[in-house]
Amino acid sequence: MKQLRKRYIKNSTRQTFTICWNEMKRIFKDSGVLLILFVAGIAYPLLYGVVYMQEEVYEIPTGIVDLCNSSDSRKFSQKLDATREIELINCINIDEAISKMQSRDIHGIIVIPEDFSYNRTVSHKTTTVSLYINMATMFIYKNIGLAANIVMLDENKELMLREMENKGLTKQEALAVVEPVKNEMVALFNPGAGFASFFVPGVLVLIIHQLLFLGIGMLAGTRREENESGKLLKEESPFKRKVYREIFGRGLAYFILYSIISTYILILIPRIFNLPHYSSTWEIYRFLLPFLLSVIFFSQTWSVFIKNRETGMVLFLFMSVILLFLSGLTWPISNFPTFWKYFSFIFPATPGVQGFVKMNCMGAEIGQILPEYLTLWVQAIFYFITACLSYRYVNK
Amino acid sequence: MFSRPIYLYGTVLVLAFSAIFFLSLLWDGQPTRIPVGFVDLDNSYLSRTTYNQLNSVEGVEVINKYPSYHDARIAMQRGEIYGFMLVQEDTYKKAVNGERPTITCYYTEAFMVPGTFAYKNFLTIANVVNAGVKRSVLRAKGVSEVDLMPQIQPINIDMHGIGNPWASYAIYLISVLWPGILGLCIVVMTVFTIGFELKMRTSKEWINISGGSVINALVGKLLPYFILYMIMGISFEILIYLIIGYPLNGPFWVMLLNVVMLILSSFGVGIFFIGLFPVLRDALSAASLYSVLALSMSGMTFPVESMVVPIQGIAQLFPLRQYYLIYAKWGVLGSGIQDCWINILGVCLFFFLPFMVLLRLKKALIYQNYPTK
Repeated sequence: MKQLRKRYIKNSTRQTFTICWNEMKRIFKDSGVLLILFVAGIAYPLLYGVVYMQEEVYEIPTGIVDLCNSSDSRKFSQKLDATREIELINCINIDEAISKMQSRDIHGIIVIPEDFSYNRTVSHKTTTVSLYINMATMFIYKNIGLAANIVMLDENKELMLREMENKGLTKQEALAVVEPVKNEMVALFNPGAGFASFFVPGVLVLIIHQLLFLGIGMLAGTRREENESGKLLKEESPFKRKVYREIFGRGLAYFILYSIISTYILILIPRIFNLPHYSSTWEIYRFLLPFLLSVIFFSQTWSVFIKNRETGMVLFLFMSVILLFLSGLTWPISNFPTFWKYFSFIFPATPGVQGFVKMNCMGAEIGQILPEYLTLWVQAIFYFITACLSYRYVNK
Repeated sequence: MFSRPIYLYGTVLVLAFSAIFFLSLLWDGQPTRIPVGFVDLDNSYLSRTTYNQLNSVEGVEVINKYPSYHDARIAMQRGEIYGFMLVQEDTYKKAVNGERPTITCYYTEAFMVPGTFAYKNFLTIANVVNAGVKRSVLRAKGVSEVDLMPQIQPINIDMHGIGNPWASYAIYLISVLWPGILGLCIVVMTVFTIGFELKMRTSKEWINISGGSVINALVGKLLPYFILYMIMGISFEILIYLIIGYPLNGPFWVMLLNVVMLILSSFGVGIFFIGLFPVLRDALSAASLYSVLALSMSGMTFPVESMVVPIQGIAQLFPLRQYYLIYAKWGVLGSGIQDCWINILGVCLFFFLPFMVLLRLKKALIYQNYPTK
């Protein structure tokens, strides 16, 4: 009995490795698959790294229309100009500013009203400075708005201090009235607040997800083109009854190859481009195990719908854009409509991106991202079963 | 073209699904009730007021009070909260004594949208709290109510967001994302339909039916797609600008013209790819890699002007970049042809791309001398 079991284990292991080895050979013989799995796997992370190499948006050309033209207003505009976000361009009047904005020479307009100086020294009314921003680009709006607001707060503080001191308070007393409670804003984890530091790590996970999906889809499509009957398991396969072994053996091939590519994408790329990398390599590998497995089995499950080599790309390329949002990288999952919240759990990309960003960008450990980690394991097991079922179904 | 479901899927279903997806996902425009935390080590009148103020704004929701900085930080790493406010011990006492204590707000930029949102709300609350304390101090010093306001805020900034006064993410993103997916579908489907003829070795027959003219063949083959994509594109523009009412300062017909040009130029790019690589798989891979990049290259989120110089040049190779610029200049700001002619010219160049590869494509279609895999 013991002997028998031993032989069974030995046999099945050998079979699995044979399947795995055959699949590897298949991959390396197929230039199309190589292009997706390897060339794109190496090129895409580099491309995104380079595209977003400049992390911040500095010195945005912004028009200033100074209708007051006093020493006060000039001082105010100097302060605006001194921020790293804004570079002021003088405009004689609003018409000139508008026409400059329309031709994209400037992206915002700041209008200082005529009574700017009068209000603050004589009438003590609130002066309203108008700010017009072209909202078509998110980062431009965010940065001009932020810089203008900070200058306004600072200027207000200074004015009030001066007024208090004029009324005979000491500087210390004046400060206590003007700003009784100081506030400090601290960005944890991504202190540079760069766009690349936020965007690229999540995209790296999506790249792995999409390339594996398209690559596995292409392999399946090719198999079906080769087989007249449209079956995914070869007739001559000696183990055709053991679908699970076939799934696992092929999966193992993808897993081994993509462990290497993923090391490059998730561990090397953040270091090359100086993106956040707070997690230890060991932790990333622990996370990678269920992530790669779930993506592989997920792709194998869906690959039965792919009838030709190329249809996978036609069918699912657009999903890259959808997944960017479904993964909660941009729009917070807490604000998803209920349906999309549940829908997002279909894809390993969701826990994958969430988990990786929390680890890589915020230094979380596996213990702190247990929900994502367990979800990935559940997905891996679930999709392994569905992959077996769907292979069996098309093989009937 | 209706013989296989893939054709209908790639024209109508994907685009309809994407429109429904983005419109429903981003319907609120701005994220509301972002989960944040609160650490109250002071437990005073001031800290309780701060907590209540923070809880009353619509932008954030205090989901938990944490006993220490450490606990709150862990909650942030777990992704339960996107930021927290910390009120140190004796803050109230120090404020009353004029020692100017500090309230610290922590937020994460690892998830940029909710993080920035938490930041904005914290800043507002910190100023409200400050103004409250300030007002009571001023009153105590006998400054009259009428004088109060200008002293608290001598200068106010009135922000006008042109094209999107509510700073709605839906307007930002959908205005360019959906056209981006439209362009992607057209490029990929054009490559696929032509490439499939090559692959199935039916291209010679196809050319023969068209009387040997490759232009006739292409027009005949792509016309049904063109009509479908036109219907989708125009319906989309009507939906978001006329029915939902995203703001435009330029005339509506500009956006129609814009989407028509995007559709035509995407067909141009598609034909160019299959002509350049007359093997379905190669052309499709190249077209896919190119199409996905278009969204980044449009400059809708991160401005192209802030990218490294070579990338700025490469961005011009994407019709979506021109679509975006025409939208940003003419659509949003209402400028005219004088500011946009160069972009229109830029898009029109894409129409002529197929002519560069027409002969090569014709040869490939007739002689079928390229591998099928």
